[in-house]
Amino acid sequence: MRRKFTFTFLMLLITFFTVFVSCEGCESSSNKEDADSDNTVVETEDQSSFYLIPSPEDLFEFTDDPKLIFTPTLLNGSDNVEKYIDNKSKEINFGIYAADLAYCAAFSKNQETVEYLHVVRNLGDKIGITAAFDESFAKRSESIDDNRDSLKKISSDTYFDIVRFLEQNKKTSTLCLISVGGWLESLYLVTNLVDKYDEKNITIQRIAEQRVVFANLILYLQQNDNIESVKNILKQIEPIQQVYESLQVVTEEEKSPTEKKDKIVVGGKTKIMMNEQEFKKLRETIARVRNNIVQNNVTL
Amino acid sequence: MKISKLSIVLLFLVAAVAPKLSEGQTLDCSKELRFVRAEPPFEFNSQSKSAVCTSGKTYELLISLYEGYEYRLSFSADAVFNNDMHFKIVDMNTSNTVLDLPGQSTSGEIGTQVLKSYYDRKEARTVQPHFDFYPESTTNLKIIITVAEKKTTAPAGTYDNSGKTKGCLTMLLLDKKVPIDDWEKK
Repeated sequence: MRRKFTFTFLMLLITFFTVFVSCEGCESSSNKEDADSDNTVVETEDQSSFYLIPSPEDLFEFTDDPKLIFTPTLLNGSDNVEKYIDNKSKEINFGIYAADLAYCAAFSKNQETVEYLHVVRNLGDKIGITAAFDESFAKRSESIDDNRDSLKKISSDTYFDIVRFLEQNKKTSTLCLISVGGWLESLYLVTNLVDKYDEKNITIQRIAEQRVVFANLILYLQQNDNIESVKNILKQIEPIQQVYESLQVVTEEEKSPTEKKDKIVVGGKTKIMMNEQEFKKLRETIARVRNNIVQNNVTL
Repeated sequence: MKISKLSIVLLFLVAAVAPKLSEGQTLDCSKELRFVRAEPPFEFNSQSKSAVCTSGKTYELLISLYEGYEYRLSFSADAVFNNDMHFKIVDMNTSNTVLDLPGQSTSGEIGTQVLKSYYDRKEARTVQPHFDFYPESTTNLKIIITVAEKKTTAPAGTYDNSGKTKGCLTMLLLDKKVPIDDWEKK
């Protein structure tokens, strides 16, 4: 009886360790097989290049310019959430809503910020990133006040928590799509904030400079273009890339280098030029790509 | 007698799976930035990054700096690396190398090292080295970090199967806005 018990115990133990060890070993290969399925997990522990994309908040920083007006009709309506059936469209539109949230917060729009905070939260639940929203989320969204910095903090903390969660869980394809959605919506909103083209307008210059950030985003996507949805979104945003690449970059050599005590001066005297025609083309291209995504006319 | 045989079998099994178990202990570096608080007037920038690094490898980070902002960049690494790293920063607009320093220098002077903290007499406290950047134009910075091969003097830490040291490396990026008036005057 005792011998039988020992044998059974040993068999169970061996089975347990065999399963445990084989699961550890098969992790990366199964991840690769899942690369094109929803909730992609790609092994990136050995990643040696990191392309970091500024959050939508950073782009809306200059919105305290009194000339800029908050335009709620530009936002992706919260009722559109129901249109997004498959995970990929949910993920990319999650990025779009996250940018809408940042836009509302940047303009100190309390009611809209709360609304989009909840849209982001609900869509987050649907794409399986509920855990990205920390426990204090509900508390924070209830105690929200009109203070611009407080609204911005909630918006940026939420975005950072999501990125951190996705990186931690190696949900690369989700992070790629959210990054594209966030960047695209930010640019869509900012290009539409400009009422009239003026070469010296800071907002116009900031939009032109997005060429630099966009180049970073492209590199990040290309790093992960073995994922079908990432390859597809790269194709979708190609027209924007063409417009940005056509912009002229000039170096203002006549100016003497800036001296700043204890600071490392970078960037040089380069300026990305964008004339009225190019601006209009960029605005139209961004709107077309963005509207296709928002209206769920894109297969990822 | 039977029990001692069972013990041997168990011991054998545990010895066989022990390396796998230690390998399974993954480092969560993302938490390193979770509770970072920026010192005003600087604010936390979302391009800050913390990632797992391995000795003997080179890492590249590409970050975007906007004109109209000032940035403060600092790094920290797990003690397991003994500050044995090298940092190089290239401005992608001009291709100029704007920083080329070790984690810890022999002189230990301010501005000669990236990781080793120093005593700031003005502030009367130990501070982490930081580097302030002023972008004249929006640009990308390429940060190249070379982690030295593991040295025998390295303190106990996490190691992978090949005996390489693993730990967290954190890049903290802070920013502050330059008033639009100042920016327009340029």
